[in-house]
Amino acid sequence: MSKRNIVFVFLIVFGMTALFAYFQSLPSLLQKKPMLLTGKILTRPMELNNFELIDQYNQTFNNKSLVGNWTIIFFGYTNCPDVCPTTIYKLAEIKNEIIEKLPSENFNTVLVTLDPDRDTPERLDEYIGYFDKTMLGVTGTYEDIQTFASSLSVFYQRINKDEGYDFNHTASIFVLDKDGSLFATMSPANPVSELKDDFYTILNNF
Amino acid sequence: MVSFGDKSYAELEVENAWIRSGPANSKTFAGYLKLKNTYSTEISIKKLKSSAFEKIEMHASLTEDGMSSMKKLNMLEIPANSAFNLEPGGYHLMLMRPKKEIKEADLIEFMIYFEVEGRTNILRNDAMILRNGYE
Repeated sequence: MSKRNIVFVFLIVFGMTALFAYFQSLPSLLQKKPMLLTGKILTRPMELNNFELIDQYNQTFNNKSLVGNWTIIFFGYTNCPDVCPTTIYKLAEIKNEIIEKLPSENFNTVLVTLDPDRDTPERLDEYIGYFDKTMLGVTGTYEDIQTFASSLSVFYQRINKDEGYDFNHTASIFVLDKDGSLFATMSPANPVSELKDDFYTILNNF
Repeated sequence: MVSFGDKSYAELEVENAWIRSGPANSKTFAGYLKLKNTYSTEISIKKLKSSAFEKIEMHASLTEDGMSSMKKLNMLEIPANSAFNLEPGGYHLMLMRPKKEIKEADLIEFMIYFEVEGRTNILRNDAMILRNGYE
């Protein structure tokens, strides 16, 4: 075999090896995280900083409370008559359907108040109890709520009005995985059918 | 000139008016309805009143750049021959400080003051107290 032929054979073998390696790795290159209609799945779940809050039954709500369940968290305040009840009903509808269709999944929903002055555990009990008894309502000190909100990059601002006050706040809902890490964010203003599809996408793929 | 009308007053029609019920001691409620302008010019909703509440305001829940906020509207304009929905998570009525107990399935009377071609009209209507709207 001439020198030139040896080089030629080498190039062919090298090329085929490279092609083989490329096709071998193709599935993992293509295996991207599924897309959501109403938000996004994080490239890698994000562990939350330690937090310590209290629920409507005066029980501690902290990192350990999240372990073992999928948890959906949203922020609001009980003096908001439009968006908060609307979101509670949307999440209740989604949760009830998922519990029925996927009974093995534990799925918790949590409202974290931005208004600890007015939203005491008693007030949260009254409010959540009226709209969806299975939901948790969580409050705490200003500092503890601020710490928890910051760990999810939630921004909020109190807006004083002629009478009382409102809050402008990050609109997202947060999906936490069974380790209590932030897994996905979604926008609750979307139709309930799209939000449902996204929860199925998450529960069926992970 | 002020004229007084019933459920469907010439230019303005109201459908499916409801107020979301809430737990005892609630100070604010949200109301929703569909407004239909059947007239050939714009209609401006100026204010609303009800003997069951001290005050009714028109509000919009907005989501901009990922932030949700509430905006008070001084009036609501409905273009000629078109409908406008006040619905959960968007435009709504904010009913403040109830003067009586707000119970599920009750009807609450309210008045809509609206202006068309410089005239002010009043339309009377009823809103049903419901947990989650008309099914």
